[in-house]
Amino acid sequence: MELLTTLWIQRYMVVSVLLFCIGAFSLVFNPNLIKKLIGFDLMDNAIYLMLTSAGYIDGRIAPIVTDFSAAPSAEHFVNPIPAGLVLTGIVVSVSVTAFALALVVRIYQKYHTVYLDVIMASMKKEVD
Amino acid sequence: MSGEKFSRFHRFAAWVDGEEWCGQPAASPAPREKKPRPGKGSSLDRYQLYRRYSQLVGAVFCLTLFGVLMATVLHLPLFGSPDNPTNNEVSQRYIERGIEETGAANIVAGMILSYRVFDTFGESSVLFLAATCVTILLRRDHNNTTTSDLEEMAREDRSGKKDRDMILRTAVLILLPLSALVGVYVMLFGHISPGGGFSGGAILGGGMILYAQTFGNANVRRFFNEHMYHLIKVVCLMGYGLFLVDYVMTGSSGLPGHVPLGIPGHIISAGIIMPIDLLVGFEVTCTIYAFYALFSKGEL
Repeated sequence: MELLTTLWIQRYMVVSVLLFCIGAFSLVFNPNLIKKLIGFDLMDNAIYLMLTSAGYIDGRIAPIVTDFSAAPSAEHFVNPIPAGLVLTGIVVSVSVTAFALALVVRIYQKYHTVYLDVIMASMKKEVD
Repeated sequence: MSGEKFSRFHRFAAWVDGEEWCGQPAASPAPREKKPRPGKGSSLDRYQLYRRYSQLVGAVFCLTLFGVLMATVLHLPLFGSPDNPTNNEVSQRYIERGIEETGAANIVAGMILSYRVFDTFGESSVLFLAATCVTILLRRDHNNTTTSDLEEMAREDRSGKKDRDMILRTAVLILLPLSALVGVYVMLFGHISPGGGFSGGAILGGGMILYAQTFGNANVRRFFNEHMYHLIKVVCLMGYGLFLVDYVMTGSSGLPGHVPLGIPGHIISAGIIMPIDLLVGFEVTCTIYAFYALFSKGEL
């Protein structure tokens, strides 16, 4: 029971672990390069979910000041640092995904397939 | 030994250029048929063996990963508690002195564009680099374009011109100014409300993609051609770099900044954050549209 309570409190972390593992499964198992990339993006998003949930504090609001009469107090706002880190991470993951998809397009133009096992078989034939 | 490496490099360079590698004459492109998956009993038994074992190793790896991560989750600090070690003096300082030091009401914007502006510059450079790499890999030129590709593209253009959907066109003409307005709004108000350069640029780029999908890339090229793309991208990144150098140099010498911080909450406030948001926003717009154009047509 105690275990279940902990898991319920940590539900965002549990979901992010599940997403991460689904992404890792697809990255390792799936021979289709596009689906490998989708798994990779799923892993990225799991990390963002984990980071954002680590910065959340119950009962506090987003870190945007609206009342300028007094100096803002840290008691009112959630932690802004994970939000900034996730912002950086999203842009880098967009760049990496675009680059990887461009490589997949070029691989398809050469081998006429996106299945990694077929590509590796043709590559072996070329080397021989 | 070195001869082999040399030829491998040549093969790689030729692949980047879209040619067959040297040693073979530049033959006509191979017919586009799907090669059969290798079955059992072929000469690829080693690959079958490799695949089976790699799947086994992959399954063990993933299950171990899942177990380790779930065990870690049980020992992490509890969700939503104010006493977590992540809520330490760094975030306290950002919140309590952020407005006074950066002038931005949005503390996240103040953090990533003032305290950590160097990091965000690196991020914009990564985006620039990714757009450059995609251009290198996917741009059409005489090496990687066949006449059948050109014919197919011309046919698509003709059919696109003929059956343009009336509802779609009208809807896009209504939506396009709105999306441009929202994009620029999100960029301009990034320091006092949620938003910023990256999200605003994505909205504006999405509007441009919508326009290109409906009216064809040729219409976008009337106001946004390749020359314009290079100009905006390079000028925005260089402008960001200049702001960054000025900000870091004056700050590290203990001098007050050149750009006044203004009154928090007004549009013209927060010093360098709003101009940097605009520059980043236009760079992201260019990059998003360039990704779309390069992946769909191979040219801007």
